Amino acid sequence: MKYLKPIDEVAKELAPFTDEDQERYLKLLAAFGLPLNEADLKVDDGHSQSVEN
Amino acid sequence: MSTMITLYHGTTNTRAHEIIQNGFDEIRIPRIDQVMLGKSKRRPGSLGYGLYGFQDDAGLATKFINKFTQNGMIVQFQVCLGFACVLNFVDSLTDMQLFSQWQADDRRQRLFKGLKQQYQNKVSQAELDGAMIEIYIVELLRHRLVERIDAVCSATHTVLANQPNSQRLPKGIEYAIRSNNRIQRMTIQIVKHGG
Repeated sequence: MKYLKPIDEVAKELAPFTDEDQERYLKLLAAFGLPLNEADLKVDDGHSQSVEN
Repeated sequence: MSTMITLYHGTTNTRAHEIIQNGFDEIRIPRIDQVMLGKSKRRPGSLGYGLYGFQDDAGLATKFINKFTQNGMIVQFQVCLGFACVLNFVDSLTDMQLFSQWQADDRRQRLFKGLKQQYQNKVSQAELDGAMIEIYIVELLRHRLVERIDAVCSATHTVLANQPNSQRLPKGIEYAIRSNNRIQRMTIQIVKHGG
């Protein structure tokens, strides 16, 4: 696959969760019924994404 | 640079004729939140969602469909793929390493724990792997690290009719095509039973 950035940058950008990632995933984890702390639950709707072709 | 690849898709007699008459159905990739929550009607294949085919091996597709029906047929089709847009688990060490690093990150383990409640890697279909690939692709696209992903390919370990399941060595190469506009043309081959 052709990456649009140098590989070391790709790895760096893929590795950490951004705040947005964290919020989105925590919200979904909540839907899985996994235990979350109170702060985790203060997340707005609307972070889902689509990869429709 | 694009390359034409020949793939073989095993399906039922009825479905094969529908494909020849009307073409393949539109390839639909469910929304990622539906995938993560296990709410998509369809389960992901081992390489995620898409149209699956074995590369250059009608026999493999025959053995695959013979597991399910004795009236199977094989649809041969060509896809035009630029390898810049293929997540390649066959011979791109970079693709494999990046995915492996992404998967191993401690911060995603809670996510994967949730995912494991929805999907399992079964002998017949590695749904969990497929769901992880879907999340990985979304992250690649969202971070704009790739332009697009038209297909995922990998060595296949799929279980075949009349073959022991204990083999860990791959049997061929399998593609999951994620975009209909990559499909060029189709022919149909009637499967000889036991072929």
